[in-house]
Amino acid sequence: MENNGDKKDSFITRTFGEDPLKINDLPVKLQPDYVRKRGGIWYWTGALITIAFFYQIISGLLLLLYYNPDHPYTSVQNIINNVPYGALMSATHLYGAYAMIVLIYVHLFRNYFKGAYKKPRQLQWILGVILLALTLGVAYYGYSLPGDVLAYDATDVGRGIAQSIPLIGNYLVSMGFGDGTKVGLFTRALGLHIILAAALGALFGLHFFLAEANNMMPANREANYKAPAMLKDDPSYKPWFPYNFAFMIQLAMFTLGFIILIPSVIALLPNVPSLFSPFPGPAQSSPYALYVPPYPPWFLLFLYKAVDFFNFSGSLIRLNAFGPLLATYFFGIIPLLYFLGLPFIDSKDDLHPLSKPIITSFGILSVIYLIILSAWGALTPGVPIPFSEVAVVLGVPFVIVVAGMLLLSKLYKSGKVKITVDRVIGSFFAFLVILIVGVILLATNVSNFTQNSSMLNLISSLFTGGVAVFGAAGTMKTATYVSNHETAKPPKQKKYYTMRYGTAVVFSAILMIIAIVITYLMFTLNPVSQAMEFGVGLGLDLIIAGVIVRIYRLVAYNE
Amino acid sequence: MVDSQEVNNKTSEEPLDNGRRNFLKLMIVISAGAAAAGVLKGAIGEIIAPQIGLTAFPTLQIVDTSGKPIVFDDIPVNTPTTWLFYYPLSNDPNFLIKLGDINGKPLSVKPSTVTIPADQTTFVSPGGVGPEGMEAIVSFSAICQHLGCIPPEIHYYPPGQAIPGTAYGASDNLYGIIHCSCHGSTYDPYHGAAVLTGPTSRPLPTTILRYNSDGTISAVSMIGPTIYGKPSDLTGGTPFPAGQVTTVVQNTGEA
Repeated sequence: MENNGDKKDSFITRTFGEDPLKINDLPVKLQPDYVRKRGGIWYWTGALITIAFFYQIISGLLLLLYYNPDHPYTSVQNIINNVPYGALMSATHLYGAYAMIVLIYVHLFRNYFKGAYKKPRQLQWILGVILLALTLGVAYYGYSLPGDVLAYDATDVGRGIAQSIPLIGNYLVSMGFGDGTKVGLFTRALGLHIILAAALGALFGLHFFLAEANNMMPANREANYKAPAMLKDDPSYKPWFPYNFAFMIQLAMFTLGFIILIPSVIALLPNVPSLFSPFPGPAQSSPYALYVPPYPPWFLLFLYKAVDFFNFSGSLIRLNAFGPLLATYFFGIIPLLYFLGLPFIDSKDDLHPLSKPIITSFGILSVIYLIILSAWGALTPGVPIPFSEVAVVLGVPFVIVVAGMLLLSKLYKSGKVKITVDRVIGSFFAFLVILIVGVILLATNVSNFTQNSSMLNLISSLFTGGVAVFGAAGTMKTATYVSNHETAKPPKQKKYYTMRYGTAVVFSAILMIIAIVITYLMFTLNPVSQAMEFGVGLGLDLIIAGVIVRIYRLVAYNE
Repeated sequence: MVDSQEVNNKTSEEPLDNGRRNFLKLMIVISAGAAAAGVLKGAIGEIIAPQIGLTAFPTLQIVDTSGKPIVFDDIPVNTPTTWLFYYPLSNDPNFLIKLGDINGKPLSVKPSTVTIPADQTTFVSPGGVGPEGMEAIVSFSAICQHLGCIPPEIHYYPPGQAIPGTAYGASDNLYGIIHCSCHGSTYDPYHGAAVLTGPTSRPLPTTILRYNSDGTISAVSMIGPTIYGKPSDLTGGTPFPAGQVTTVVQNTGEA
């Protein structure tokens, strides 16, 4: 499809040359085509995070022009209500952070299950885990900056946890939250938000350098499921410019488009729960503060729920003083240390998830616990949970997952099953989550029903029973599918998209006209009162541009 | 790079055995470590914010927003709205509550010995102030000792008022209860804000009031656990301007 030979050079090519930025002269590593084709997005989760991070730097620096730690709440309200496009800037800075965190979790677990922490990428993995911790730190301080009631709740909780650490508690409070004055608190929160973001950028540089030096991890089948999994320097790989370059432009357009589009749409919806609102809550001194549940940001909900597990009574009540610290320790620090130490814990060279059932189980359980605890925290904010209930909710998935994985692993090792990681595991996973949630809800509903035999409890018991049966059936079905799947048929050629040149021109033209119309409409909007409508337009424009780049890559590069 | 240089300079290099080399390297590491320790001391010392505060508890007369000293009758009994003043520093909120029984008659609040469940120690909360036999006005830090929630999340519920989201119905609340909606901790203001239910493991610190001979009220000290989130009651906040002898109590209007 490339016919560079008989094509006339464009003006830019004639003036600046084929590769004006001299990208191909850089010591960049090259990749096979499949990382840019359908499904190849999984090889670029790090790139998506990078794009979101750059958006955060730019939008954050612009917000810095107006933020005043002396008057945190009013200065943020001023940005939202009076600064042109200020509402859009602050809402997208928040959602850019959300996107970054979600993408980091995707990146982390993708590399976890793929075994990317193994030789030769151990240090890259360790740096990545540190980057996760730093990102959550930056996000925590960023969340505190608006000075609304949620920000005060967050800083008060953080202060309490820090102070309950024996011996150094008071020093940590002083380092993390300042001298106790309001100005001291917000000046420090702003300072640490920026300092930690700078540290994040610096460490990211190292992480990125290692990623470039080690290059991508090839498809596991290509590496035969053995570490070290390295791409060979194949001369047939296409040069970075323009192939990866165009792909990066496409990813950036989509990522930025969604970061801007999603909060803009949410801002225009009525009755958005405070957990997902793109704007700050009520002022801390406002009477409305009473009606705001003391939620932490959603990405810390799991820790927040864990605090409710440490409710001691009787002679153990003294331990309550350490409840939040214990929750942070067991549900925050220990998992983090586990991920940090993973390259040392599992240093064997097997890459297949079923060859390391315990490690894979812990990964699956991390995802499940993260989801369950977060949802639990959102549904029952601040409600103490008795230990027996905690044991059921966390124990049932543990038993199901570990036993299931050990069984599958045994089948795999005896050669009865040969599966790829991708699709089958994915659907198995989905059914497993449904099964676990169904079992937990069913148990709750049945115990409600035995105590109080109302119609509502009966119906919810029947419904959740149905969900549990559905989940169980699906899990079994996918498990049997797993065992029959790839032994039966050889891996077939992946189907890639194709498009005719004429179709591409028509599609692109229509999209371009839509983009022009959208931009025209955006220019008629009021920069202050209609900033979020502007954001909808801007997000759509970026996504349209991304789609056109995609179409171009499809017809010009056959990718 | 080091390797290639070593190869290039091999002829000019002093022949050193590995033991000597390692000894030199060790000295480099130790001296670099000494410098790093200095850097750490300086950097961490800089990050720890200097504490500002007081050396002794001030005596501050409680006044209303117009500056008029508060007298006993200015505070309504059993009011569901929150009355707050700041003491000992300008950003430490305290409740000012006039306790009454279920019929609205001011109670005489006696001193009580309060246990701190966290460490099983006790302190004596001095009870209320007011005219003889009607010592009904009490004051406590208005920051929940569990995780630092402040009004309106932590809130005083007068007698006869049910507390939403808890087991306390209207008939269980005879002398008023302070409840924090964040995680459900409850305190007993009639008995020195002792812990009624967790998750808190510390009572609210008592603000010691003095009933002056002219009927006005002053805050003079604090007793009990340290105010939440502070290294001590007297630091970790902004002191009132030097020479200020009053603190304003405000009806925040929050019910």
